Formats: sequence, structure tokens, C-alpha cells
Amino acid sequence: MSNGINFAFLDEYAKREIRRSVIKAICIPGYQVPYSSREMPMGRGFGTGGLQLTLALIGADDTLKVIDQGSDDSVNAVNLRKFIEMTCPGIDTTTHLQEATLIQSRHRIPEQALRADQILVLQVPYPDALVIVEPSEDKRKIMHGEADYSRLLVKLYEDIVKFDEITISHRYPTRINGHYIIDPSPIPRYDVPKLHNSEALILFGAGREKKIYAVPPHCLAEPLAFDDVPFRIEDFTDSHGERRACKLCASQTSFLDEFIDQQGERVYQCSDSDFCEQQQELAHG
Amino acid sequence: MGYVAIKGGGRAIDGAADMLELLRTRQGESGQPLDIETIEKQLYFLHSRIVSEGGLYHPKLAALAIKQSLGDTLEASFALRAYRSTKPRLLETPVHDTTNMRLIRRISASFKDIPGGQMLGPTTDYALRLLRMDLLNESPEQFQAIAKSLFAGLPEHAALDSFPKVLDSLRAEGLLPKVNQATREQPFDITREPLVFPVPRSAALATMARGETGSLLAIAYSNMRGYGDVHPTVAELRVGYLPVMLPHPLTGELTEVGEVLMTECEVVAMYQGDDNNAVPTFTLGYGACFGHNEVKAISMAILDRALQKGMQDGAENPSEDPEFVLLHVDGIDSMGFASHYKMPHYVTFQSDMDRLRTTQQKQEANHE
Amino acid sequence: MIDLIWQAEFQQAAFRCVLEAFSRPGTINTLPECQHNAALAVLATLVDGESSLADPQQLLDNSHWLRLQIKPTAPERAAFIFCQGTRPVDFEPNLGTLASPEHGATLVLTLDALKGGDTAYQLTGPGIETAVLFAPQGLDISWFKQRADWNSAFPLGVDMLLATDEAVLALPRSTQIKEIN
Repeated sequence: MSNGINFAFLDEYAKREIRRSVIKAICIPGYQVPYSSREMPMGRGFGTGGLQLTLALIGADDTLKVIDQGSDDSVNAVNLRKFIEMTCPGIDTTTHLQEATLIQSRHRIPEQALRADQILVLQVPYPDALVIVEPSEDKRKIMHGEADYSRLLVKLYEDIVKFDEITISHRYPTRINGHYIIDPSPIPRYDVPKLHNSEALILFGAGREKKIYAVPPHCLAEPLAFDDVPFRIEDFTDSHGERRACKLCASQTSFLDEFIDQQGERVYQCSDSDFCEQQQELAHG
Repeated sequence: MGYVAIKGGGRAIDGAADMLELLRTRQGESGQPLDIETIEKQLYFLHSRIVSEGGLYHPKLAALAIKQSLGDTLEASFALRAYRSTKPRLLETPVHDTTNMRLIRRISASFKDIPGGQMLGPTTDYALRLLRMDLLNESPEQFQAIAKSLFAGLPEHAALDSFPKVLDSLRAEGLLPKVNQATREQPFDITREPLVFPVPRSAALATMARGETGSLLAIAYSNMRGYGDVHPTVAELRVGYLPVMLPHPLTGELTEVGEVLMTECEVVAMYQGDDNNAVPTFTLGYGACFGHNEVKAISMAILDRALQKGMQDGAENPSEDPEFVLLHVDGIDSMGFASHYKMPHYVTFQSDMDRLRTTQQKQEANHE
Repeated sequence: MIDLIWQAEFQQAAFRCVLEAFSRPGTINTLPECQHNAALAVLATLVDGESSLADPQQLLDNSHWLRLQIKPTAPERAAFIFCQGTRPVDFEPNLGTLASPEHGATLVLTLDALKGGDTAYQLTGPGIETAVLFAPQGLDISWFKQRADWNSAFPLGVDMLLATDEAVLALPRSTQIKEIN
């Protein structure tokens, strides 16, 4: 192998440890399985947890898609993809969701539904939803085991009293299979419902915090909410009450990035670039 | 117009790599590429820091890491640490006794006269920190002449091969707790097991041994200044080469396979009574790391004492809290996460704006 | 030539098969070519010196232990327990703790066939869209009885992988098993 580097970079012991952890993560949906988390040649916080999962999963017959903020071409996605291509000779990469067997993503779940033969790996900066109410991991582990989330609910309730809204914007606490509450990684609230009853296995990897957790296919995933204050996804309606559309593909259902164009106008575009391009191709035949 | 900052990522990365390479080589023809051995020898303390924080004793690759990272300590340690991930573990050493260190320096602050004697060795401790302008233009000839004249003054046998430990004499006097052989656990391996708290002392020591020097110093300093009460005395600080023994792959017999430069510090702190009316004794803190890193070893020893206190009686200060100390001293973890904030966060920021706008609208509606 | 199952490339493919099995409990997943020894292939894929394995029925020989680079552990403490599913249970596995349920053991059981048995079970839970039927051949009745005890206090419990010569089927602790007549 080039540079004398093992296929998929990690030595086989490291891969086996990750594989054992992944299996426990699936068996205990939403539980954060600790693992040793080797140092990767990119920064902690740049997706090393997701990367270690991908490297422990990937084989020469896989087709990989890497996205960041929904885009295949953002610097970090390119960087991760190049590293995986370099260390995994024989694999294919793609930007088309439909062609991928393995998808590594930061901050988004792809716009279109995943299939049963695909695996989604999400990069996680903060794995524990309880960290906002309890700094000690020792205590959090007991709270999780007992499914004691009263303090988290109180926090949400205080929000409602103060702002008349739940102010958690992303990393929305979500209860898996009726027991563990997870931090679903910094995906927008728009993506949270996709965790529920997913066709594909969804794996979460936190490199710096050394945790792996999973939402198995066809699993219950419920964002925390109250009967009278429901969970709400991001609102993209304009001042006339119309759903904003992507300026490139005109989709009125996708999650949108907002920015200011060179004329100083506020404009919106799909965050998922692959979806947006496919919509444009459909429109132009 | 396409994706503003996000498109063209591949080209941007290649360009950035080129710019960095240009920065490294910008002296052009007038420059000499840094020689690996020069880095190891002349940037001795920098090199020591990298083998220690990188957690891999590979002097040559540590020097390469310094060269390729343009001297950034965090980046260089990081590259060395990442290299470690690609190598399987073939053998494990038994616990080593540092009495056998071949010393280049050894001091005690607790006793004027210690068995074997004090040995100041190479240190900047008593140097005047005045810039030596003559080094601005040092010729290779001058450089060699200095070395030659100094070598000439050295006795043939510079020092004894092994020195007794200062602590042993304190222990013999009953001023320190006896070594409890029964509690000698199998050391916790932080490279194979994540820290799940509470962790044993060996996990704390291993984490600090490859911790970032500045981070350890900052937290130890907080204890020294009053956010804690260790009040240490350096019983012994030693720097030298420790022979590394490995079981022979066929016979299993311990065989010397090389030596590692390391720094070890043992601090003694004020005595602790306990509830059982046992005889009070001094307490101990231990620090050790690869390379010659005295400030790090001292900081680690102080933190070891503080953490032992915290593990026993509960943490009253940050430096006594194992989770606080051990999860925040790793340079590779902390620098990576600090850097990651430079990556795009468009999606989460969009969600943040959505929440802020919604709550603003609600408040405005309430005020009307 | 090292047997196929000890090679990294095989283990990657075998792991994906095991992963699929655990992701979709009750489905039969055929391993890549493994010389009629799916159970050993699974052990080769998941176990090494950094894990622990019990073999209470002494099904493994010395060469296997050397290959796995591991020494046998008592079933009470092992992360993996290897048994013939046709024989009754005779140990108490580690169920993990509330704070660390991942220490609950993985049982690898060998069976003649994963379908066509006399007793059928209905499986529900994560990984299963509605329900799936499962009728193993020759599984000793003590296993599911014990499993119900071991897994009575989620998240504590054991996870099972049943293996024939060629295929595997998983029953994670999250799967509910109901006997149907």
C-alpha cells in the first residue's frame, strides 16, 4: 500500500474495537458506547469520529458520499473524501445519493430518503444531550441508564416560560426507542423527523468525546416536546405567508441556506447541493 | 452565482497546501533545509516536548514532525500521535524502575545532601536570561570549537549508573506511607480504553504524561496560587535515560531494547491525617514524561497530588476534579476542537436565526 | 496461506454482514465464503486480544486460541461467549450495569438451521418494521427462557448471534420475542 499505510488507515485492532462498539450501539439504541478513539491525521472536531466509523465499515466494493452542510464540495467534505480515497484503494466515491452505499455527513441528513442498503454516518461534536444540565459524565451516565431526563425537561419548560418557545435550534434532544435521549448531532430540527422509522441504519461518531451511538432502522425517534408546545421544524415562510423557494431549483420543501447576494438581497438556496442539482436536471429535462 | 464559500473546496485545499509549502521553503536558494538531526539536537527542548505530547518515543519522526509543521508544537505532536494510530501493538513492557535511569540531571529541593549527591546538569534555572548576541552569527567552526573544549573537560566516568531515590530514605524514616504492593493495579491503558469516570490513578497519570505542557501548567498553577492547597516540595527531579526492557519473543526473558530520555518528578506534600487515627505521613505526587520537560513533570506531580485528594475527599477546586483536569489537558483534542470553529456552520446558524427571529416576533407581538 | 477468515479483507465483509444482521433482527444473512464455519468467522471478525472470550463447552482448539491471540475467560466475565445452541444454558453471563450496559455479553450460538423449526417466534422491536417470524432448528428451549430473565431490565442484557455453517441471525437485547403456536 502507498506510504506503507494500512487499508483504511487504522490498524486491524482499532477497527475491531470500533466494530464491537458499533454492534453494542445498535443493540442498545441511543446509548453512547465509549471507545478508545485513535488519533486521526485531521483535527479533533473535523469529523474524526465519523471518519473512524467510515474506515471501520468501508470495503473495496463500497461507494462513498461525503457531505458537509449538505454540500459534497465544501472544504471539509473534500478533505475527508480525499483522505478516504487515498487510504482505501478500490473504493468508489460519488456525489449522487442514490449511488452511495455509505454516506458520511456533518450537520445534515440528505434531503431525499435513504434506502435500506445505505448506511449514514454522522459526525458528532457533542454526543450527550444532558451536558446542558449536568457537566459530570459520571452522573450523566446514571441519569441515562435510569432514563431520568427530568432536568432536561425542566430546562425546556423554563425556555417556554421565558420565551414562549423552545429555543433549542439544532442538536435537538431526541428520545430513541422510548429510553435513551440522544444529541442527534448538529442537524437542523428539519432533519430530526428523518431519524424516525428510517430505512437506513444511522450511526453517530464522536471522536474527541470517544463515543459511538446508533439509531437502528425502523426505530422510534421522538424529539422532546410538550403536549401544548409541539416540536417545530425551521420556518421558511416569508412575510406573505408563502414557503420560500430555492432560487436555483425552486423547491419549496427543502432546507434552505440563507445568504446575501452581491446586490445586497437576501436569497435562499437548497443546503443539499446534490438534491438541488437533481431537481434542476429534472426541470430542464 | 453558485455556493458562495463552499464551492471549489478541492481547489482551495490544494492551494492552501501549496501556500503552506511556500511558507516553509520561502528562503529559496539562500536557505538550508533543516536537517533532522539538527532539529533533534539543537531544538532539544522543543523536540522533547513533541515526543512527550505526541505520546510516541520516536526521536527521528518527532524531528520530522517539527520540520513539517514549521515548529508548531500542537501540530507536530498531532502528526506524531496520528502516526501512532497506524501501528499495531506487538509487545508490552513490564513496569519499569526508574532507579535504573542513566541520569544527566538530578536535584532535590527537600534536602541539601542526598544519597548520591545533587547533580545540576543542563538547566536554564540559574542562567541570566540575557540575549546572547554572539549567537546571531555563529559559524560552524565556532560551534565545533565550543563542543570540543567542553568535551575535553569531562571526566571519563561522568556519573554513577544508578542513583538511589530520595523518597526511599523518607520512606525508611516512616515519613511517607509504605508502598502498598497489594494495590498495584494493572495500569490503565488510555490508548485502548476511553476514560469513563471514575478512573484509576494510573489513567490520570497516563493522560497527563502526554498532556499539553501549557494546559497542565495552567491548571497546576491555579492550585499553587490558591485554588487548591497542595503546597509541594520537590523531593526529587531527575532527567536521564531509562533502559527499556521487553520480553524476548521466544524465551520471554527480559531484554534491553533501547533507552528513552525522560523526566521524572516526585513531590511531597503536607501530611494528611485520616479518620482511623493512623500515624500521619507526608503525601506524594508523581509526574513523569518522555523527553526533558521539567515544568511539565512538576505540574503533573502537583496535579497528581491534587487529583488524589479530589478522588478521596471530593473536588473543591478545578485542579482536584478528575473530569475537569483530564478531559481538558490533551493538546490534540483541544487544539482540534478550537480549530474546528473555523469550519462552516451555515446549517446550525440558520437554525439559530430561525429560533431568534421566532422568539423576537413573539416578544414584539406580546408588546403590541 | 492464512485461512481466509483471518484476513482483513474477509473480516471487513463479514463485519458488514454481522452489522446487517444486528440492524435487522430476525433476518438471515449469508456470510462471505468462510469454509462452512460462520461462527468461527464471526469470532475472527470481532474478537482479539483486546476483548475477551469464553468457550464453556470447549468447542475451540488450541490453534484457534493462538489465532485469536487471546486466552479463555470465564463466561461470567467474558465479552463474547461461544456455545452450541443445541445444548442447554449452563452459565450466567455479564449483563452490564446501568451506567455501562455495553458490558452485557454477546453470545455466539451455533445451530443447524435458522428456519424450518417446529416452534415459531414473532420478533418485534428496533430494526423490524412491523414483525418478523423466526423458526430456528434445534435451539434448546433454555436459551430463550434465560434470555427473557437476562434481558428483563433494559438497558441491561445480552445480545445473541445465531450462526449456521454459512449464515447468521441476530437477536439484540432490544428485540421482543414471542412464541406463537
